[in-house]
This record gives sequence, structure tokens and C-alpha cells, in this order.
Amino acid sequence: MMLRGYRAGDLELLSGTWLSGELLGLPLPNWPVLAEPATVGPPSDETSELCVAPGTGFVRYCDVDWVHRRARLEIGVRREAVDSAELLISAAVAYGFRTLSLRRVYGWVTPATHPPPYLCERAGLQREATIPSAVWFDGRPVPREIWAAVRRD
Amino acid sequence: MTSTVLRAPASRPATGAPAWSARACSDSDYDDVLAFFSEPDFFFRTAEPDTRSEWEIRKLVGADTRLLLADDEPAGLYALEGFGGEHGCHYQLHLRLRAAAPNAWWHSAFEEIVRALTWKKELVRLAVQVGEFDGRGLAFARSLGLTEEGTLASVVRHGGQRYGYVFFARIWALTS
Repeated sequence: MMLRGYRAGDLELLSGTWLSGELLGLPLPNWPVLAEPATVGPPSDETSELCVAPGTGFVRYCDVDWVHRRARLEIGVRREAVDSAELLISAAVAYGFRTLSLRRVYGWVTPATHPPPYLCERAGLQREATIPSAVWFDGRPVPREIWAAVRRD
Repeated sequence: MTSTVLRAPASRPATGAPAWSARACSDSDYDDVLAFFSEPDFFFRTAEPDTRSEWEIRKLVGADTRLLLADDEPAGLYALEGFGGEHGCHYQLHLRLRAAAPNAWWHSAFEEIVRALTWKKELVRLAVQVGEFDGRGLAFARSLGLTEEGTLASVVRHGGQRYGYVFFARIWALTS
């Protein structure tokens, strides 16, 4: 899957009905009609690296630590492109390792959103920790997991 | 009675190269500029052009950058950075043409840039740095006969590997 640089015309790819900050943000069912969609801002400085996959979604590395070469990964997948989620997360991890030269790629996974676990595993990510009551979701605090991939070469 | 119109001499070499012109990039040129950077080998001040965001492209294409037009059509970018003060006679050239531009255009664009630069001031050293991964840039610099001065190894990362920059230059004899 081709990732390319962000353009002003890609703005609609940056918002959707996924849990904010999620490693793999997939559109959630039962999203309250009056709830604002999750949104990330257009890239504007070197603390984050955002690419888009046209028609599919965005990939954002935030909190980039260029010294220790690690960053937190966020992905947003458009509702009409959920079938491409696996390709997108694989492309995102490869981009982090290959192009950004990161050693550690990590992100938040929230079990309460029922993410298909195999998607992260197939992209080479592993669960490292569970943080209790880490985020508010659907009327209650829920645990969140840290998933990561580490390059060992 | 016929009027005589003064024209600049046509800058069209016999090689079929286009008529070159250039201007500063205005807001209305940015669609063309962004299209240049969507090409994966448009290595203008970056080793990863097609994944750069719009804000970063605007930073790369600074006030010193000129849009090159071939027969009035946007064809690439160039920028000259001066070294060593006003009388240093030393410049570094950043030049990139879009992928569709034939190789002969690179040569004629380079010579036009040199002609313009030497029109008003003395030039002793014009340097060009090309990434080792940039086959097109290397072919251009070598076929143009620029002096290959050496490689500064492992300074840039591209496509998962580290590469050096190859330093090329053309040197003119000092006139005094």
C-alpha cells in the first residue's frame, strides 16, 4: 500500500468514528449521532510524521523521539476502507522501520472496542502491558493495552 | 514603417531543448510544486519526496527557490545557495526536473542557470551534491562532465539504507 505526503485536500481522511489515539482506529458501531468524530490535525512540525493512504485513511507517528528512535503510532481507517486495514497497518510499521529508521513502534489498543487482534499480530506487533482504567469509552473507564514492535537488527 | 522589438536572444540550443524561463513560486504555482514532490525521485532537498507533507514541502521550497518553466510549462525547481559571503564566488546548486523531462533538458537547464549566474558576477566554484541512491542525478552530473570530488559516506537515509552524498563541482579559473 502506498503512503504519500499529506495535502490540504486530504483533510477528510483525518477524522472518523474511531477511538482517539488508537493504534488501529477502526470505525466503531453505535457511534452516538451527536458525538463529534475523532480528529487529528494536519501535520505542521517535526514532532509528528503523518502520511495518508488515499481513500483509505491516515498513518501518524506522534511523540517521535528521534534520539532513541521510537514513536507512537496512530492509524485511522475510513469506514468504506476497513478491508484495507491490514495492508495499512503493515505499511505503517514498515514505514516506521524503513523510512523513519525507528527501532520501536508502539501504540494503544483498547479491548473494549473489540479490535480484531490478528491485525496487530500480523503486522509484527505484540502486547506488552495492560493499563487499567486508561481511557473513558462508552460511558465507563476501560483498560488499554500497549502493543509494540521492536526492530532487532 | 516597421518597429523593431528588442528581444533576448533565444535560449534554445540545437539539441531540441525547450526555451527556459523561471520565476519565484507563488501560491498559484503550488499545485505544480506539490505534484513534483509526489514523484518518488524528485530529490529536491529531501531523500523522501513523496511522503513529505505539504507544510514541509513549503519549507523546502524556500524564498531562494525558482520554478523552472520549459516552454512556459512547469518543469522543475532550482535554488542557489551562496557560500563565503558576497565575493565568495562559490555556490551550491539544487536542481530537480520532473521525471518526464528528458536528460537533455537537465544539461540545458544547468547551462542556462550558469549563464544567468555568470552574467552579473564572477563564479569560481559551482557545487552539486547528489545522493548515492539518486541514479538520475548521478547520471546527469557525470554526463555533464562535472568533476567528481568524492563521497561523504553514510550521511542520509533512503529506503531503509544509509547512503553518502557524492560531491560534484565545476570550477572556473579566477580572473584576477
